[in-house]
Amino acid sequence: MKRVQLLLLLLLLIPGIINFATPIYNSVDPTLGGLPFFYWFQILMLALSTLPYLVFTLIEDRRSGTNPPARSGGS
Amino acid sequence: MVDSTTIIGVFVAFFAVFVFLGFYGSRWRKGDLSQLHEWALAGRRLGTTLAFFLVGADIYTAYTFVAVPSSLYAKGALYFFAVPYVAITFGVALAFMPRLWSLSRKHGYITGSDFVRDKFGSRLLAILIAITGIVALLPYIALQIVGMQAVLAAMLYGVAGSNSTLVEEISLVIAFIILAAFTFTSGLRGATLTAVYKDILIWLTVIVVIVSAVWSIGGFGQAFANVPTSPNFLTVSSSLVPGYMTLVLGSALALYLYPHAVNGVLSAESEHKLRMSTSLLPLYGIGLAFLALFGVLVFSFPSAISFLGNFPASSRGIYVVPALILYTLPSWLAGIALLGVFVGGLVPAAIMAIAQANLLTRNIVKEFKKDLTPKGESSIAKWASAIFKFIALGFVFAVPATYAIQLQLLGGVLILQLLPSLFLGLYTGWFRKEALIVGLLAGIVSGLYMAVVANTVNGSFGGFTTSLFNPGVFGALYIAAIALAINLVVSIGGSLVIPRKMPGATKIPAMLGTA
Repeated sequence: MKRVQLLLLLLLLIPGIINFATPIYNSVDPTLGGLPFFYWFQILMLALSTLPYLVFTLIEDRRSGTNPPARSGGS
Repeated sequence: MVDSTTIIGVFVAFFAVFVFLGFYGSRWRKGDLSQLHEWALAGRRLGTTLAFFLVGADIYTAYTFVAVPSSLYAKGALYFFAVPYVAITFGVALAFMPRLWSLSRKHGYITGSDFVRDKFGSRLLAILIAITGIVALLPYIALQIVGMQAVLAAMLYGVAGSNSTLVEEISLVIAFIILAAFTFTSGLRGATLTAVYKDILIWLTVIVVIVSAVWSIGGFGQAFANVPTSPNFLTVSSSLVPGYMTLVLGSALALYLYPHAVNGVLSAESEHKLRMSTSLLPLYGIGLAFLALFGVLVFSFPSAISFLGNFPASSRGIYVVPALILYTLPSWLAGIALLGVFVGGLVPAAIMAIAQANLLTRNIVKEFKKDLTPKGESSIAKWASAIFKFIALGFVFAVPATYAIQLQLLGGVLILQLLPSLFLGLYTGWFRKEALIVGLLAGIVSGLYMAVVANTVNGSFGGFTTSLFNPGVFGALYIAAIALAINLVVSIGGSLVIPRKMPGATKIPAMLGTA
């Protein structure tokens, strides 16, 4: 497997594993604004998961030649 | 005090805007709507933002507004699994969907079943996949109906009290006819426009309710102090951790196997735009997470809790979100919020019915009626989309409303069985079609068997209230995950056993000769 493929795989797997590994976040403390750790950690992970996903998208677009044209995002 | 007249007035006014958008869809980015891909995939021209909203509409359904908060309210932290599920599912999508998108663009696929038929050269497998997709969506659509009913019942309770059933049913039928009509005329274009409208209303609702409710309670700490001690609201009880993990994994793998999700993916304009919108979709889940917390917050509002007391325990849960809206927002805003939740069921139901109709025409009817014209194809699809919505109504009665989430989880048991053919098939042609067929059937049959056993108490079946089954190891697990394991064992084992080269035309006569 090429290095870049491994990197791409990890970018998807790492957030996947953290979100899946319930025992690591299944506790009340530390609380944040009164929310148990269990809740705020999982909510935070939603926001944080987008980062590796976006990096994946950038690399994959460049690699597969589906580079976005200069005007992007428009719908 | 709840001012029903204002609420209903605002609700109806905003619904009128919704109806306008739905029908306007047929004129928007005009295409020939007698072509199936124009009607069902909006001409494959949705950019990052619109694809984001359209696929977001698959996540933000009555599942989010009604089923998850209801389950959290009744069963505690276990049902927060919906949050990590959403975080993971888009990683799964990034791994598989762009590939399906580019193959579909190249070969003109409109459904996942189209791809499987081509890849494995099996009509039978493709038909089975189409049927599984259609059936798995029925309970999911039923869940949307439960959500819409909850809104109507909660809203009309103030006017008609517990006699509101008739009014509620009439309103639901009217809403359904309107939905069927605009799906028929505008297809996915109408669904996309209304999805954007719906999401604006929903975000508004979530933010306003969370801020005002948490403010008036005095912080989340106080809210968690007000919940009952049983079930466990603070964390997942250790005996339920394996269940939580398998619910996360099973749901995350299942979402993009659903025909309506595939539909949303294929309507994206480019691979880049698809990846981009998918990467950002976990942000959508933040709204879902806070909506789930409504199931916790509601305990801090005695007026909302006493309102819930008007309904039998078996259906109380689904009124959690409507009740919080009614008792924390000013009436005019409550009207808008309730409409948001209502169309939050209506739009996904439309998208799902479109996806079902696609499967029926492309992968079932067309297999038997080869000379179907593009126009005939599109017209069957339009009618079928209307009919499926009404079939789904039947599922509403199989599940006690508080446990409405079981409708979605039951659909998950079925749809997850497509994983070997659809997801793995995108990356390998190693599997034998015969093994995939037997594996699919083994997964479905074992899944349904476990679902029935798990819900049979003292020898009688009392409706679906759980999707966890204890196979004797690891504790209670999500049935879909166990069934998938069985399916994978059969698919892999079968592919190993079946010879690589099937006895071809040259071999058979030779064998006959020696016999």
